[in-house]
Amino acid sequence: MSNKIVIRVDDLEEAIRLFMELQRRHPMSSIEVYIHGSDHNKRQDDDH
Amino acid sequence: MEVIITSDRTMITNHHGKEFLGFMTTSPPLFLPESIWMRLAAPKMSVNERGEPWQAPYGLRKVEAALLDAGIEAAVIDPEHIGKHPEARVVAIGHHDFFALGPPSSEWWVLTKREPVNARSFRRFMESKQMEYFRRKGARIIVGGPAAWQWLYKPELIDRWRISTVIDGEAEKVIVDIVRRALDGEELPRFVQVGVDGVPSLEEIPLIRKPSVNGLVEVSRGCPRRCRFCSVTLRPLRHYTLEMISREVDVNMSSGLRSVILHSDDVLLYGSYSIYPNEKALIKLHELLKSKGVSQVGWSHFSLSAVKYAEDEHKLVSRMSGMLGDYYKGVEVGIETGSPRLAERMMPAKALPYDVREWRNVVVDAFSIMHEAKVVPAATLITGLPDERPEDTLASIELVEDLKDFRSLIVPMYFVPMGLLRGESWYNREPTEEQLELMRVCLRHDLRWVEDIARWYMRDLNPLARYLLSLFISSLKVAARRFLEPPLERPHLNRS
Repeated sequence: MSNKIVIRVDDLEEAIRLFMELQRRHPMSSIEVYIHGSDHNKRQDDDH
Repeated sequence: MEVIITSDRTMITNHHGKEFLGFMTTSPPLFLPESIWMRLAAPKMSVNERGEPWQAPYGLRKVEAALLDAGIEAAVIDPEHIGKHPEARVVAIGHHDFFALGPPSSEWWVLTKREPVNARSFRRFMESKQMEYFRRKGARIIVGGPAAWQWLYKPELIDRWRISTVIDGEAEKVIVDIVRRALDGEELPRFVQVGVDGVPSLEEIPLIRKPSVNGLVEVSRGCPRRCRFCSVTLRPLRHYTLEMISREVDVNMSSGLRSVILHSDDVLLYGSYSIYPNEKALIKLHELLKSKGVSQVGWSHFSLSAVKYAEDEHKLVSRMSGMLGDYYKGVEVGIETGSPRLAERMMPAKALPYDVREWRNVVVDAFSIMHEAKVVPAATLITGLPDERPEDTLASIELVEDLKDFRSLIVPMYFVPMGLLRGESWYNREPTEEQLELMRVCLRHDLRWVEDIARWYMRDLNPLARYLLSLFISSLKVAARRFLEPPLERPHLNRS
């Protein structure tokens, strides 16, 4: 069974704060932190 | 090409075939203009018609192999040639030290108050027209490697450079999943930590398909020592089989490389599941290299306690060195401190199987062994730890002086608390007088040996690089005179 911790937050600063806290508390666990509605996660049209 | 794997010039280089010249990328340019410094420390390599460099960092080659094994079209591409692949939808970037926040870059920054070239070069690369193109077209930019943690201190750059995902940890399995999601247009996590259940097993570690910088090949992952300050020990211990190592050496040698750097956190513990070296495994490993006709071998890291034990019990260090040939072999080692008190607090397992209170003797004996066996260590010392007292620094000073007759370089690493890294001027902190004296003692030691080492190290360097390096060493000696004032009077320390 996977022990992955998955968290969703609203902004980058919160994501960093939580990620660092989770790393400190769970150094052996897999962790993924997502940011709601982030532009970096939207693909723009590929013009080529 | 769906996926470009790349980095900046300080990473995509073979340092003229001299791995230790790579450390010059951790410094600001000294006595030479930056352009000349970069030509010395990080020259360009030849590329093929697709912009693939002859050699690439081993970690990037692992990512490349993992993606290729998964059927994804990917290649390591030289940073000046990524424009040849405008169709790429993912750009994966790795680095040893993106922002010069790790040692020794951070130390040189503190001492000189000038930004090291690795950070400058990386910033130029990320601001380049080619990277701007990939950002504008919406390519997913994924970053990782041993310096992934540094992005947590640069949120403004995550936004500015539109970083999709930061991966911290052994990425060979997770990168395939992340890239597949990227290519399918799915949402990606911004931050990923690879846990124990995500690291590849021995059988899942992909083998490199193309040459690594200066023939570096990994032999083990993880460490049995369990030092509290170290994350490596959290990972499962895995030793490559001889067949795996042989195949990766063959990849390098078939490209024309004749040198090998054996890599792990302690090569002397290859094949061991305890803190005692495995004599049979080490001899077989070095016999393998000899049978392949490798002309030059180096090792990335030895622990000093393993050096002493291996030689005292099995004459292993001298046997391994002798087997490879009559030349100097380089290795990095960690002294870390000369203070028994600090050693006991910080790294009680590092001295095993010896008592940590005997750490000074272990260090001196190990240096003596390496000197006799023609092994040349580049050693690190840590100063500036939160719990450090002046007498701890003085103990380190005395230990360095005990090592004066052994061919080596000793570099003090100046500890920078992570909490300080959020500030804009973290490098403005000042060392104490004891710490400065430790740096002076190390500099004296290094100046005593640098010409002897350089004469051997530079013998097959191209003439221009040899000239520039000689010029740098001469300039360093002149500049060092101002820093090397007479030693402080020191209180007598009880050596028992």
